[in-house]
Amino acid sequence: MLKTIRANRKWFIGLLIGIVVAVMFPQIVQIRFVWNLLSLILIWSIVGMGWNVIGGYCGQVSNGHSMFYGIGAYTVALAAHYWKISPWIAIWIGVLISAGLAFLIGKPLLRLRGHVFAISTMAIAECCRYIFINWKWAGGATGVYIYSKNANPWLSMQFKNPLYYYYVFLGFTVLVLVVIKVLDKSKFFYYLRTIKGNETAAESVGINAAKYKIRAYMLSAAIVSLGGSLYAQFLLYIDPSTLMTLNISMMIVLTAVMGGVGTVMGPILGAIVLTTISEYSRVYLGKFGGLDMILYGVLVILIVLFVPGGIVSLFGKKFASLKRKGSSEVTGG
Amino acid sequence: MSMFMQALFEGIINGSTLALIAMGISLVWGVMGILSFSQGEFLMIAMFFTFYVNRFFGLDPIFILPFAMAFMYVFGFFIYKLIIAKALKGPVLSQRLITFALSMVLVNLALLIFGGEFRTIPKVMISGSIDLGFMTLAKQKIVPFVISVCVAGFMFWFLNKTKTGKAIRATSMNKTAAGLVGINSDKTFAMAFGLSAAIAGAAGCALTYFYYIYPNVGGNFQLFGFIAVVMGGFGSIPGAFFAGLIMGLADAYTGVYMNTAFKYVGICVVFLLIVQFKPKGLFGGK
Repeated sequence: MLKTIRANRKWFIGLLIGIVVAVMFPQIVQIRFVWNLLSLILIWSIVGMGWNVIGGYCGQVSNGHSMFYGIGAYTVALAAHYWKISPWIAIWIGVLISAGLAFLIGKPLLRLRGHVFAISTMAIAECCRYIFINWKWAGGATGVYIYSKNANPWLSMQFKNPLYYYYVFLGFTVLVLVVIKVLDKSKFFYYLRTIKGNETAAESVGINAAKYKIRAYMLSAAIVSLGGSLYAQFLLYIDPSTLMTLNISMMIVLTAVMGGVGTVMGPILGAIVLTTISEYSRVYLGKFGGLDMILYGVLVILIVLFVPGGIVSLFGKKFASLKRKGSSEVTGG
Repeated sequence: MSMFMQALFEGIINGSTLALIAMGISLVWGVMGILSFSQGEFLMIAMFFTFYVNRFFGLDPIFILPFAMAFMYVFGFFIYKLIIAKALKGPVLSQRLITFALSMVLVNLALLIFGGEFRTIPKVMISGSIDLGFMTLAKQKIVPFVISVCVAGFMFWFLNKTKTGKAIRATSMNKTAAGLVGINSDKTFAMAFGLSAAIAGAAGCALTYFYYIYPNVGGNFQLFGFIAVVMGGFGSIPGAFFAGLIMGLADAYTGVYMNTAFKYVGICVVFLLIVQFKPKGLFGGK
């Protein structure tokens, strides 16, 4: 840890400046809508970084991460609803459940490759959605309300002012970002990159591909679950059709791919661009039937077509050093 | 017993639509290596096309079928030229995302233009039912099945016997080798994409006989279509067709004998087991 900080002194100074800017920004721009937008950007950054571990670094493109997103959200909601457990604890329970589930389903799933892996993850996520829709104890299709009137706002992580959410989420985002950055230069992530490049070759030089793929899948699930928990606290209401659809899975993938797969900063940039587009188009064009989603889709197509390396690749040398050769595109498919 | 037979009937009817969707996905997957998320939306567009042609000209969906297929072929061809051709130069993942974004655009475009309400074709030529004593067959549902079988037969003939079809299959087997013997891969890709849209068009046109028409209709068939393609075996178009039928049957039987809630779970478990033990699918060969 300390070694990484010393080796990347510039990056961590940049991070500190970034944190200061992120803390000051909402104080300058005093618009409630912007505060909400910023909070959502942070959630999507966390989720994007989580997906990036398995999809970006390891090249196993999962299209079913909405499952872990939903599990994270449901854990905090149900823990608060039934046992009055504070989300500060429940978040970590959700992380453990998601990682455990990833371990269980990872073994059979990660043997599959390419499109088949993607379809299988989609199928499992869809199963999970149907289970939650029909699970009476977990609220069924109507979902769960988390809001409680007399709770201590800090203990129950329920704030009236979106600014507090923003600061809490900022803390979690920085935590995840630092974890990813430290791992980025670790042996573990180099193994993952090797597996992505060529799994057979990786095994031939003695990397236990199955083991590291499962670990990557668990880490990825854990981070996405954390994002889901935060989202549940932000909405204070959850139901299966807002959390666990294929659209959410694909938007998680989009966040990472737009920013730049297999890069540290990519998902954050992707989250900033995508969430800004979707929120503003929803506000200004939402009243015309599906116009906002049309604009969103068209912009996604244009960006993915014309900037295949992700937004990171636009920043030239300074960011390109983060993007090692071969890690800019997903070969697994 | 009658329950069993009725489920068999319903399963085959639903399966025939799934089979056509799966064939289209399999064609695009086999030829271009793209996981096409927009197949279900092509079905939806064809349904709306059929609905409006029926409304303005009073033609029965059976007679609209060739027009719907031609229309969807041209539509698919243009989508290929406009978007997919460029996407093919990029990484595999961005191709998948582009077809997903395309499906999002198409669904919402339909929502904007046609509105979200459920429509049906008010009067179809063949209706009523056949009573076999132990079960009833709705004639309205037999028509789509017959159409599906005919279209699938036509596609098999086209891909196996005609020169264009052989070119498409050669490209799906080995792109480089096909190029070496003088097959223009870009043209073949465009035709294959157009054809897959046309197959979805036929499915959509047939489906209007008894199904509701609304912008999100494609999503219902998308995931099952994917599963059928994997089950049928990579690139195997007949495999995709039969796996589509099996999916329809599995859907109907789990719906009848299990809690409908766990229908998806049942199907997914079966799918995962098949993929574990036969990763190349049921009809995928070695």
